[in-house]
Amino acid sequence: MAITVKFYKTSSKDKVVDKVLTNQVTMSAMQVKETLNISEPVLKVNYNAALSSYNYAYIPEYGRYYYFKSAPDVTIGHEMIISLKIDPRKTYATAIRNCTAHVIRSSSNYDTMIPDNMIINKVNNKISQRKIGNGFTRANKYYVLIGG
Amino acid sequence: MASRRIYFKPDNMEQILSEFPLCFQTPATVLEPTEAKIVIGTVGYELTDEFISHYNTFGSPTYQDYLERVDDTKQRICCYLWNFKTELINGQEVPYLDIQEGSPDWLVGRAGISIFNGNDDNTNLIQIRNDNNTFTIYDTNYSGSTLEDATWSNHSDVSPGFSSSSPISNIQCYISGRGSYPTSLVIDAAIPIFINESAARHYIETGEIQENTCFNDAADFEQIDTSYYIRSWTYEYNQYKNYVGHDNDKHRLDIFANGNTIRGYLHEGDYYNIKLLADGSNSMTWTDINGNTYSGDADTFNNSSLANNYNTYNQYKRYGRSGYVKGGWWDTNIYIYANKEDAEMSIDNPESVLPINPNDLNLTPNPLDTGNNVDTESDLISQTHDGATGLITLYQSSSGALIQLGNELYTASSTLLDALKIYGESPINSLISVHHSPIDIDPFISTESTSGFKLGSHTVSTSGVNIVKNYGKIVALGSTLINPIYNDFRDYDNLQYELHLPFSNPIMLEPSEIMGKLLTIKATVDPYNLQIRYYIIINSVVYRFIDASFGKQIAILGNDAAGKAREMRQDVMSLTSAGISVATGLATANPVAVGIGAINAAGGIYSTLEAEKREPKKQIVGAFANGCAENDVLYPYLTITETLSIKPNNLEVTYGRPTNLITKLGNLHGFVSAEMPMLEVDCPENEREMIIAAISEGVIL
Repeated sequence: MAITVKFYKTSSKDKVVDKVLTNQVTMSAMQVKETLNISEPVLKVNYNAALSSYNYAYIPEYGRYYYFKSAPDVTIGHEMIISLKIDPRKTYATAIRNCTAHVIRSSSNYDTMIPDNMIINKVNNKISQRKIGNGFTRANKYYVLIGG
Repeated sequence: MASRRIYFKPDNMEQILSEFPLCFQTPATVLEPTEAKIVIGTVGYELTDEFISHYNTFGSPTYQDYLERVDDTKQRICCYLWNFKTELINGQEVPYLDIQEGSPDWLVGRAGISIFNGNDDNTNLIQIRNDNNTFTIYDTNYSGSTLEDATWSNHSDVSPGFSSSSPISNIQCYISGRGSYPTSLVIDAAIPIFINESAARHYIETGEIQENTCFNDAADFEQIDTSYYIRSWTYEYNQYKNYVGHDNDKHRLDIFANGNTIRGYLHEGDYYNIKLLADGSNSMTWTDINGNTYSGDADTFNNSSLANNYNTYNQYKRYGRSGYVKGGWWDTNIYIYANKEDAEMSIDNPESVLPINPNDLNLTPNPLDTGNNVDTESDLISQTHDGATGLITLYQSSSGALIQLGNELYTASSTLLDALKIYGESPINSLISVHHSPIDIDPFISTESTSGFKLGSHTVSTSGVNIVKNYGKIVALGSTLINPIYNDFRDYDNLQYELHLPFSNPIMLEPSEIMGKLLTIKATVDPYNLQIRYYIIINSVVYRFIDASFGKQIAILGNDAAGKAREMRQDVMSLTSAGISVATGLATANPVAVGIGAINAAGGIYSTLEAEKREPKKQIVGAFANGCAENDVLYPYLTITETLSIKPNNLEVTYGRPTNLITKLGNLHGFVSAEMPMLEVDCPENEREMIIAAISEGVIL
C-alpha cells in the first residue's frame, strides 16, 4: 500500500515542540514489512540522493511527525529504506499545550527563591565589611556619682 | 410512577444545578455584607407566568433588606437549609428533594432556609435590622414570557405581600402541585448558605468552612482578605549602585478593596516604579501614612497619586540614564508583576503569569490573626528619666576637674570634714562611683553646667563639670539596606551577616529576616553604670536588643580602714554589676536601685573578704566586664560572608529554573519540564507514555 510522506530538514532541537521544518519533499512510499508500526514505521521510497540530508518526516495519513532514526539505507534495487521514529512533541503539540501539569522547571514563570541544584557552591568565601553610620565620638570623660 | 432523589449537599452540586438551575446562583458576599438577598420559592412561569410561594428578604423601600453590624467584633452572617426532609447518610442528615417523573417532572417535598441565628434575638451577629421583617412574602402574580423574566432577580423591588411585627428567622416553601417544577425552584442568597445549623455555627464562630458543608464556591470566601498594603521608602543610587540619597519620608498605603482585586506592576525608568492597579466594581477606600482616607471606584484609585507616585520596588530598577532606585523600606501583600500587561492578565487569569514577588506576601490564611498591627520602631520613643539630683548626683567631669576633686578629698580640711560627717571617717566615702567613658554620650543625656562638685554642704569649685539632669534618649546610630546580591535563593543560602556593635560580641543576623530590608541601629545609654542598650530594627520592627557595658569603673582608694573596705566593695560591684544592672538598673531606670541591688548582691562576698582580710580575686565573667571595654571599634558594622557559587550561563534558557506551578503548559514558554501531567489526548498507550516522558524530560514551547 502506497502512502504519501512529506520529508523535511530541521535543525530545531529535539525538545522543541514547534520545530522549524524546511525543504519539503513529498514522495510516495511503501511499507517494507508486512506489518507497519505506526510509531516506528520503516518505509521504502524511490532513490532520491537528496533524502540523505533529510532528517524529518510527516505522514498525513497517520497524522504523525517522525525523526529519521538513521540515514537511509540504499538497496541494490536503487530504493531507499527509511526508518522513522515518532516525534511525540510535535505530533501532540496541541495536547501538550493544553496539558495541565506540575511544572518543575521553566524558562518563564520560574521562582528564583526555590533552591536550584544546577547552581553549585564553591568552597571559597568572599568577606566584606560595611560600616553602619558614624558610630560614637571618642571622648575622655568621667562620670562621678556623689552622694548628696 | 418513578421518582429520583436529589441530595442537597455541596459535593453534589453538579446534579443539583442540572436539576435546579435557579438554585445557588449568587456568589456570597462575605466581607461586611449589607444585604442578605435570601429567596426561596418556585417560579411558576410554565403554566401561569407568575410567582408562586415566593419568599424573599428583598423587601421594599419601606422594608429594606438591610444588614448591620451589632458590634465591631462580629463580622459574619450566613444562612442554612432548614426543614428539608433528610436522610441519614454516613452519619450525616442530608437534605433532599424528590422529583416525580412525569410530563413534566414535578417536585415532592418541602424546602426551607433559615438565617443563622446564633442567639434567638440575633444580638451577637451581623443582623438584619430589627425594625424590619427578616423575611417577607411575595405572592402577587407576575407575568413573564420566559423564566428569566419571571425570576426574582428581575423584580427585586416588589412590595411584600406579608408583614410581621417581629423578625422571622425561618421560611420555607411547600412544594406541591401547580408550578412546582424542578426548573422553577429558587434557593439563593447573597450570603453563604450552609447545609445545616451546625456547619453555619462553626463558620460564624471560627470563619472556617468545614468540608462539604457550604454551597458557595470557596473562591467567594477568598475575598475576605481584601485588605492590601504597601510600604516603601525610595532610595536612589548612581550607575555603580552606590547610594545617592533617599526621600525624607517613608510611604505607607492601606487599601480596603471591598472585594476588588489589587495588583501592581513595574514601570522601569520611573523614580516611583510600582504602579497599582485595582479591578472590580466595588467602591473602595485607601489611607495614606498620615491617616488621610480617600474613597472611590477602581478607576479613581488607579488614577490617584497614591497608586502611582510613591511606591518603589525592593530591588534595583533603572531610573533615568545612569541610575537606579529601589525601595529601602519595602513590604507589601500585593502581587507585583513585571509589566502592566502581566498585571492585567493576572486579574483575568491568575494562573497565567507569576508575580515577581511571590514570596514577599503574607500568606497567613484566613481567619486572620487577632490583634492590631504595630510599628514598633515608632513606638520606640525617647524617655526623659530625671537624674536623682539631691539624693545622689551624677557629674560629668573632665580629667582636670577630677584631679582637683581628688586633691581636695585627700587633703581634707576641717571644714570639709565637718561638711562630710554623714559619710563617716573619710571624705572619700562620699564618692559612690567613678567611671571613665571612652565615648561621648552627650547625645543620650542632658546636662547642666555647674560650678563644681557638691560634697555635703561643701562645694569643690572647678570648671569642666556638668550635672547629668536626665537620660533615656534613644539615638539612631545608622542604617543600612541589606541588598540581595543574586535575587535568588542564594541570597538566603550563601550569605551570612554578622553584626558588630561597639563593646558587644558580634551577633549573627538571619538572612531571611533582613534580606532586602532596612537595618537600623538605635541605642540608649544608662550613664550611671555606662551600660548601653542597642535596638536592632529591621524595616521599622524592633527585632531584638543587645545590652553591653562600656568604659571603666575606677577603684577609689581610701586612706583608712573604711576606705579600704570601700575599695573592695567597689571591686566586687564592678565584677557583679553587669548582670545586676541588666536585671535591676535598666528595668527600673532607678540608679539608687542599681546601687542597692549591687551592694546587696555583693554583701555576702564583702563579708567573707572582710573576715579573711585579703583582696578579692578579680576575674572577667561574661562578655565585656566593666573595665575591659575602653578600646573598641566605635561604629557598628556588618561583616558579610558570601559563599561563592557557579551558575551556568544561560541556565534559564537552556534548562529553566525551578518553579512550583500547576498550570496549563501553554501558559508557559521556553523550556518546561513537568510531572504528573493531566493529558487529554486521543492516542495509543505507548505514545501517551512517550508524551509524558517528553514532558518530564523537558519540552521547549
